[in-house]
Amino acid sequence: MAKQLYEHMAVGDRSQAASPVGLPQAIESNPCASSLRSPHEIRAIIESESRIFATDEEKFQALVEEWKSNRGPQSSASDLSMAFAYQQIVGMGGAAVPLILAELEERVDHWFWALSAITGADPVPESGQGIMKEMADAWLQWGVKNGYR
Amino acid sequence: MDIDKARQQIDAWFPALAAQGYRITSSADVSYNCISWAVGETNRRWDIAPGYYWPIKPRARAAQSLIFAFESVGFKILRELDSDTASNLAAITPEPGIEKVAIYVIGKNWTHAARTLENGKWTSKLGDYEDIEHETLEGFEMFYGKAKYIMAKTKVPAAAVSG
Repeated sequence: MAKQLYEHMAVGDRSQAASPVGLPQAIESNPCASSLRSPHEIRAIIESESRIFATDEEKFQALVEEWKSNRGPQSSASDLSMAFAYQQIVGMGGAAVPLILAELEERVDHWFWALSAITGADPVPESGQGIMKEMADAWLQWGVKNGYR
Repeated sequence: MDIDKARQQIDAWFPALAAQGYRITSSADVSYNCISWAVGETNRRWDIAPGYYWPIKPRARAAQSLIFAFESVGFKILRELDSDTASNLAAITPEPGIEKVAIYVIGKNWTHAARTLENGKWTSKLGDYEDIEHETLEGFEMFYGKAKYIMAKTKVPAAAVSG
């Protein structure tokens, strides 16, 4: 039974994961569920609940929404980037980079910490430091140069 | 965000500030933060995070790093606030011809800065959100802790700046 359940998830049956709500009933009710979950599931903790997503993009958008809705009046981007939702975006690694760049193109925001943390790059020239639009432009150009856009 | 929603949000973040009163003086703007605002800049963010502007090295969260940053634009330490309330009051009272900034800390780390206005009040930029005018340095404990250091410099007359 356990093996069957694992296989059910491992093949990537996203039909039941299309909406970002819980696991299939059989898994949800199984006390050993955590040991049965596939490492390939796209998971995130949103509003303190573990959820699965059909795509990285869905997960990213849910985390962005979570981060923005819980944002406070912190002065430093280093504080804003310590939010759990933001940290989960950083944890997505390279998969998040094109999504972050698209988000940055849409609206300038504090994505520079995540981009630097994931890629190890810092393309912002000294003359543009702290100028949000110039920081965003530098990262967008970096994205083109490095094949992310 | 309209001003009523902004006020609701600020009241929720800083209930003690709401109790003593404040005035919203700008719309939300991600282009600058409280440190920029304290030194009179609205086009770039002073921040220790990668890619942002910080005038000194190393970029550090220790209060001392912000003190050095303010020193780089001419401020000098006037007082470290302590239990001597009379001396504290003298330091935090705005004075004509003198610009003062207050550094807020939690533990040993800076969290926020406010500066004096010509009208004898203080002004703060709240993260990515609005600027506000406030009567005292109290009421920000929820996110910023307490004002710990007051720094000051002589104001440069407008004629000297323009001419």
